Amino acid sequence: MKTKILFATLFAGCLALTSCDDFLTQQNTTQGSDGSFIDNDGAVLATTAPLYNYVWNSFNDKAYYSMGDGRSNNITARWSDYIYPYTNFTETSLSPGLEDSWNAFYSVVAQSNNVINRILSSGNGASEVAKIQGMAEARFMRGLAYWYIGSLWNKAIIYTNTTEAASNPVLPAHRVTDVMEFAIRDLEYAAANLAPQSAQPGRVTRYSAFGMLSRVYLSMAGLTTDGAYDGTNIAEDHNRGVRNTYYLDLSKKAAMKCIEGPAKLMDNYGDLFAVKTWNNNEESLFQLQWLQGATNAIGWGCNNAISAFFGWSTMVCEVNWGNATYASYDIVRTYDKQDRIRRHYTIATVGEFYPDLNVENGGYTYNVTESDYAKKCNVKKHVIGKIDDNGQSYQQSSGVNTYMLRLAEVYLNLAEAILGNSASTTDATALEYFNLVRRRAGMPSVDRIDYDAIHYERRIELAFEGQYWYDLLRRSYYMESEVVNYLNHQDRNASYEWNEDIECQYEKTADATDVDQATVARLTLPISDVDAGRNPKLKEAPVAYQFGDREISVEELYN
Amino acid sequence: MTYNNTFAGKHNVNVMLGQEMSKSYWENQVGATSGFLTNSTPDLSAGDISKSTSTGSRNINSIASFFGRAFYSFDERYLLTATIRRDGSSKFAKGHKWGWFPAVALAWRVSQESFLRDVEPINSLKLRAGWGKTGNQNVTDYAYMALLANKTTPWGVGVLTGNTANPDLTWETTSSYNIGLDLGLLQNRIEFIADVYYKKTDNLLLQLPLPSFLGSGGQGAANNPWGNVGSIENKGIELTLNTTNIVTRDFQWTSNLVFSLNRNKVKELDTANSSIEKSYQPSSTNYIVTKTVVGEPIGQFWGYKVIGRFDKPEDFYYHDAAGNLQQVAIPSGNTIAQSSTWIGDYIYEDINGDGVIDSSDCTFIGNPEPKFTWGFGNTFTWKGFDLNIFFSGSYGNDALNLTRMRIEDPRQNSNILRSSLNYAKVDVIDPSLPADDYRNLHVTNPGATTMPALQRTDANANYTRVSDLLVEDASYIRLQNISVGYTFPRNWMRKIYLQNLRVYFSAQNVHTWTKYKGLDPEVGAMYGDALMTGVDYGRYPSPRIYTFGLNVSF
Repeated sequence: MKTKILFATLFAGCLALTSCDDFLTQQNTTQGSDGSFIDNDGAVLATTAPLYNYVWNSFNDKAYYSMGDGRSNNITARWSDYIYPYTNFTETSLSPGLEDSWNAFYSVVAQSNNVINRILSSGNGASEVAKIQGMAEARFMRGLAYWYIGSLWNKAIIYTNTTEAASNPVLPAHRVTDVMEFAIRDLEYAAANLAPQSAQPGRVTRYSAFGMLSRVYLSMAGLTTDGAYDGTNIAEDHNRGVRNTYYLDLSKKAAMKCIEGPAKLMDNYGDLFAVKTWNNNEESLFQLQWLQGATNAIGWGCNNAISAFFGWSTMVCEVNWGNATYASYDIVRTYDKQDRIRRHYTIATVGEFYPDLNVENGGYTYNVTESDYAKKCNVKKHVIGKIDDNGQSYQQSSGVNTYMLRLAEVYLNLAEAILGNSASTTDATALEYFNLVRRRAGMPSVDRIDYDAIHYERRIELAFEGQYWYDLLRRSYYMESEVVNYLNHQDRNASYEWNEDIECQYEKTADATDVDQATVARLTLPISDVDAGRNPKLKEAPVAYQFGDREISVEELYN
Repeated sequence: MTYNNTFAGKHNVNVMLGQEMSKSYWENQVGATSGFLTNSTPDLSAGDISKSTSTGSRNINSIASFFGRAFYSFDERYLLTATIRRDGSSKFAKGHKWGWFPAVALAWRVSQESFLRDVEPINSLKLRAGWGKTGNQNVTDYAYMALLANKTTPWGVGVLTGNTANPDLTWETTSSYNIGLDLGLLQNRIEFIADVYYKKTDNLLLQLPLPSFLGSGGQGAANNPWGNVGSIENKGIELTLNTTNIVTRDFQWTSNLVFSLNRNKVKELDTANSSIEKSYQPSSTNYIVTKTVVGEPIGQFWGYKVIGRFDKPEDFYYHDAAGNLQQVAIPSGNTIAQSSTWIGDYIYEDINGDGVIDSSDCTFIGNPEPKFTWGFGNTFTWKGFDLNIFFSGSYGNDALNLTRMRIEDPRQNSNILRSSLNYAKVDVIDPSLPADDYRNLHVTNPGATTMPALQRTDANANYTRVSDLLVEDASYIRLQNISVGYTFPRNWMRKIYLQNLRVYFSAQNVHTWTKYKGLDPEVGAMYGDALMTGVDYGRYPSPRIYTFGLNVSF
């Protein structure tokens, strides 16, 4: 009897086993599943939308300006340890902010790869047009991220499948020329496949991709000797003084393609940084797209916190971590005395009046409304006031976008590409666009352009928009000694003080004592101990990347 | 369902079969609003609907088990227990859900044998041997599948890959072997229990710390994957000795001594570079703090070795074997300069001998695993009084005192130890010569401190590098507990109609003898992660607890 019960139970148990798999399969009803998500065109848009914000959030927080402007000595920040080691050339593989920056760019790569692969493996639910558009957006982001990594670290680990790479994370780094080539191929794909008009305001278009290409080709022109990159024509002599005309020419063509698009310069330089006309204006080709609202409502990751890092007092910003983060003496003295419009909107100087700040009490005058600001020039560009002033600034969430590419830069890229290897140029096209940028800033036109003119124009026009270090790096590809020498004569971290008798209105009061020498080696950032420890191959010499066939023909792209 | 029978008087069989299923279901719904008109109407609908938010999510996991146990004993001398389980978990993908977990235990009660039954001093003697497998499914729900994280964007809800999936995820199993001995002597006044064990854990479940170049950190990052990453072994001894030392009519003294010793070693790792590096970010920089590699114990501390300090100009150079003057290795990218590596900076060991200090010069700098741990308790009773004293201790374990990295850094301007004043002081050798030439500088208090100098910059990363100087011996002896009590005599109590009345006082964590400089040498594992054992960044110390108590039974 008992034996029978035993067997009956065993039998029932076996039956139960078969239905157990249902019991043991639980659905997640909060989060969608990667494999089945893309079943309509809207899902493609949902997949690419976070590539405009979340994945760039860490970059936007710090690396945007700590590397772009801190490293190049537009910023003096004595106490912000994510800036000053990079300004002072005292950074090590253990410096704060180093791994963050490295990680920030790779966040973009990792998630762009995921988007591309999700689209590639999706079924027939979404249209081919939508899928290609989505992949082109993701490749725009990935290409741009690789351009940053290649520029800063002179190498990068190129991978196209994040899950696969995660299963074997000991990967070699690739040569900087391969990284740039990879970036170019991504951006060329984007240029060939993105729609001319964005489906939603702020999404990148083919003109954004052409504009970005005009920048990236300029880097490649310095890294290669002549002709299209084939893996061997790598420039070894970094002091040869000339660039590859093949890429200079492409840069010019890409800039012209971009200029054909609908983008226009804003009438006033100040409008670029006025809250009402900031986001997705007609000059913008690519901005990071942030949410507006308080972080307790919108959460973290889609908030623009830059204002907090530059806000110098609670009268001008909801969070003021930026009192000691201000313009370097070097940039202050660089401003041409006629360049007061751009200076006004870029850095705050003694006596400058800002009606957009402290609105309720009739505006804000630097060093007058509040005192003790004679020994620094705080950065105005990212400081847009408090919520009472503009109706949208919350703590660590300014609600304005971040400029990544705007038409003025493309004009300057064009001028630089046309100048090419000549000492100077009087080319009418170059002059036309170069002078458009100058005249908008209230500066007189020029009739001849040389490197110094472009150097000045780029630095001042795009100051604190995370560009200047990359300008210097790309110069160092063919004028290395000049750049290193320049970096050692920038009076980094010098103290200064208001003095009206001097042309730039400020006088240097003391040199810094904590700045190390710039060297050729310092042009490349170290790799953080953490990543080098996890992937020893990062320490080895970079290797060649195996490219497949070129998807986009340059001839067709620029016919 | 059980079955129990005894055959022929001596064979006892007990069989049990069972099945269980459980399902855990979590659901949260949060509604919030503001703009209420009065305090008397706090319900959601009374608020401003344009300002209300609602969030909610659900999470489910389930587990199903079939199990059986058979128990057989012969003449109460030979005992055999066999169990088998089959467990299935929703945390793994189809095809990986189920695991078998059998176990067998044998015991021989030697004292029941005729040859020992009459040996007076031995009251009981039992020999045991066992083998078994246990399973562990402690991973995040749905870790095997790629989920999308919902992200609100200016264009509505978007999605990002939420985690790196591992569809092959399955049970972690531990096979344990042990043999043991239970011995009771002299009317069980001496009780001795000994166990020797060997455990091997396969398919170890861990969330892999991916390097940053896989976009593993920050707001837009996907969660790191879980994996069955390898196998580790643990072997050790556990001894317990309970003795009744003195028994008289009024006085009794008993003691209890426990000793345990464990050694672990990684047998196999399936990660790409056969190692797992755990990192920790005490302030603004992330550091690798432990590294686990095959053939070594798990979670050993990882970092640089400080082998000296540049106290005088000559310290920057040495003569190599061939008699040539060589510069001592300094950090990669640095030079001998005031804003780089300078007099008063640490000298790190150039492990790979390439002339520069970088991450390839990191090495194992300490092991958090104790050589052994022990506990020793004594109970004294005299008439109505009782006194209990319990000591515990750990010997040979290191701790990584990351707190000191922060609070012993003289560059900080708040919350620092007084000892941070004891930094190396640098001064000129000859006041008539320049003070910015390292050849004219030296440390004036070289013997008095192991700290580096206070430099203009920390480009040598003296204060911001995980090094062996932060590794400390965290062995300790702790007076864990003292309690004193008095129980009033029963016959007194009866008069006031109470059954029992006891007053007592106890103090826990009374005193700790240790050389460890942190707050508490009993650091434990950070975030409960075994690979982060002994990493101390201001762990909240065990409190001292005084208890006064009264037990009354009516």
